[in-house]
Amino acid sequence: MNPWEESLREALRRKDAPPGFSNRVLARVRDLRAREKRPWFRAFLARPALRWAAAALCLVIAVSVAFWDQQQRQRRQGELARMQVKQALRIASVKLNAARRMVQEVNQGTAQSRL
Amino acid sequence: MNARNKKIRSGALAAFFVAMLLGTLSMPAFGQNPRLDIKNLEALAKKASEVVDVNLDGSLLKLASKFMTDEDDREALGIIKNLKGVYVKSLTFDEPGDYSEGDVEAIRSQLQAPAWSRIVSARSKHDGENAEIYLMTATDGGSVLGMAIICAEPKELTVVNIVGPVDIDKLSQLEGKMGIPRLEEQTDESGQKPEGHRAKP
Amino acid sequence: MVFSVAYHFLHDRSLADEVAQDVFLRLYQNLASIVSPQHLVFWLRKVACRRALDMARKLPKTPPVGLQDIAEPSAESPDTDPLLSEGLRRMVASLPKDARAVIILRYQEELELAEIARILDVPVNTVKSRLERALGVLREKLNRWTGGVAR
Repeated sequence: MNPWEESLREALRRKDAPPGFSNRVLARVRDLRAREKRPWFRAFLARPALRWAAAALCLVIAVSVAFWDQQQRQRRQGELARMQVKQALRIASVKLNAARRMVQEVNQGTAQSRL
Repeated sequence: MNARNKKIRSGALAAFFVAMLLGTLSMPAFGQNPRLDIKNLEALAKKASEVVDVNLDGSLLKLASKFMTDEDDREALGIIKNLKGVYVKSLTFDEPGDYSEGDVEAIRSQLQAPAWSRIVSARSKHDGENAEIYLMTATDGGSVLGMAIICAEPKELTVVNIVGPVDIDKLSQLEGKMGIPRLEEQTDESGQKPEGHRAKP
Repeated sequence: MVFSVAYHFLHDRSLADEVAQDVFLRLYQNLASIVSPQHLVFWLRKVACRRALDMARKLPKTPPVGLQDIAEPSAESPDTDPLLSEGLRRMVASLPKDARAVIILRYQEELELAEIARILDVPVNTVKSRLERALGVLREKLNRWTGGVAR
């Protein structure tokens, strides 16, 4: 990725939801349940505790998976960066030493011609 | 002394103290930036048959270091520990002449700034290879702020830019480790080097 | 992730909050259809994009970005340019809606083109051409914004 795309990636870095987000979702779930008319579901969610548990479970699952996904992404990024570091240092080391050897060869050539 | 002269004198004194303060602080001079602008090489890369492009800023180097836990990685980790950036552009072309001296000059001209010192310059007429190593050091002549390597071969152009206090000796010693073959001096009976003696990254 | 997709799409925290709530509400209603963690992530991205798109369609057209519109930079990582980041976010939010979704999925979620095509339910070539056009537009806007000295 070139630098300007890096800037774009940086600008679009994930943002956290505002505080109280979970509570607002749970409140809407409660409202939804109050309006819903599915008898088989109503029987299960007739108890408030179960409704809350189900809604909370959804959120926990979603947040956990999003977190897991982010961890995986970071791991992939980290491994890629590690490979790139090694590649870059490899190239730098080879070129550095190649330059030094060229200088040595020139010096040896000069020394020999003086003998 | 009238009020106007007093003002001028106190202004001059203030400037003098600021200049003294700046002079005694060990810090890079204004305008010293060890990061090279290699945007022109992005356009050149379109003509290359092979491109190695590494852009690792401080945050990516930190991220990489968290994953460099193998025995193999120890030396590399030591090198990148305090670095702020590692940038490599290596372009391989099909034919000599696919890139011009002007392309190299666009990079080299940035290294003519006073803050940069060329510590190695080697040219091989036989191979048509030209290699230069530059260092940027702090104004007190102490710490290394950055390094640049330009290697121009007939069919390959490599620019390496390291931002931060790079240890050149440690970097040099990486050869022979991390899967980098050591380049032994080899000559045949006539004293000439055999073809393909250079280790490609 | 969901809030972030909505925020970068709409560039409005309260609208993004509303969209994100909506997505989780729908998740609650469709939980039985989720078969795996990967499916859940895919589902969340798909629905988040769709809902953000629906919300964007109801909004008036976004005005062009002016430097005076850029808010004071908030705390960001020391290596970023907060002004540039905020400018880019606004530029992304001003893109055509289809292009916006592609850019967000590519650069926020760092998805491959094939995955983006699956989420948006369009061919890969469509994703490719939307991405190229969007990047071209963003580069042009960025050049104008920075006076031709884009990074």
